[in-house]
Amino acid sequence: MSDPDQRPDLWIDSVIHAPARLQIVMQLFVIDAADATFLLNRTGLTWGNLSTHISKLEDAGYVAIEKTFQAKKPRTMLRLTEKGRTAFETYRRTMRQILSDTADA
Amino acid sequence: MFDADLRRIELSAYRSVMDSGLWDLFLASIVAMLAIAPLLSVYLGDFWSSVVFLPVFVALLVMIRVLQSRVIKPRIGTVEFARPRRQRLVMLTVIMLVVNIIAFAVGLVASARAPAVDGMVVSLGMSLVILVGFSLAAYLLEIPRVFFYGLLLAGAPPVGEALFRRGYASHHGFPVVFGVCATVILVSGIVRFIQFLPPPRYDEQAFPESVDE
Repeated sequence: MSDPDQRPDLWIDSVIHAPARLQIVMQLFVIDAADATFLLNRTGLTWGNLSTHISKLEDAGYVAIEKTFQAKKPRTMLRLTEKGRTAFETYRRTMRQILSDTADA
Repeated sequence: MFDADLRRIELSAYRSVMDSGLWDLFLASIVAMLAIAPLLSVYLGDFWSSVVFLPVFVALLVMIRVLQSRVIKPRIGTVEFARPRRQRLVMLTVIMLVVNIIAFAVGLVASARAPAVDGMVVSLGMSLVILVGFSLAAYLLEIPRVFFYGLLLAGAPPVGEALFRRGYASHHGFPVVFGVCATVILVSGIVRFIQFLPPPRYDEQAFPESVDE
């Protein structure tokens, strides 16, 4: 099996790799945008955990938070940025490569 | 369970927002109209026996909008779907418009030639239009239940006509067969709506994912 330490192309993005953040990123990858309530229902996380993980994704530049008003009510939508989409696609490729290397060993 | 299939995640996300069962209630009301209108036509005539349902439809549409904004959105959340999903829904709208125009034209021709055209032929024509329309809707919406509604409704006109010919039902059997269909769709919609809403959540019962790293 390839040693990821010796293969820079097999570097795993730790921001995405955490299970909770991976769930959030996967949800946002397949849709355009969603609010926190939707992500809460889809991921099963608590409000606190969701908020923390979203902050980490936002700090990494993977998620953009848009605050708007709809019918005089505040609405916060979360969207995967281009950087986030690219990072997730790279992550998928890397994981596929690592797993296929494992199968060949 | 962790699901890594993106296609399945998208479909599940879509159904978790769109498949609320509320539109089943609206469909049930339209089918109920097909069952009740023939009975009312004796007193109100063909035109007014259908028009009388318009306020009911408007009231139902308002009720659906209110339930969506007051009950569903606060519990399920708001989602903007990706372009392929949006295109599918636009295509559905266009196709449904075309199917309805065709059904309307076929209905006009059938009523104009009513004595000359056999009732069973009209029934089978209706079945075909219903089956095609609902099959397309089920495919584009990706909600299999819609296809079963199509089968149920497509079977209704010939069965009604057969009952009518044997003297078991009046008005080509419409009140009986469409009444049964409306009841099935109504019950199915109510069950779906109850299942659709997520149970109340308490933070201590939620998935104990640690905020690691």
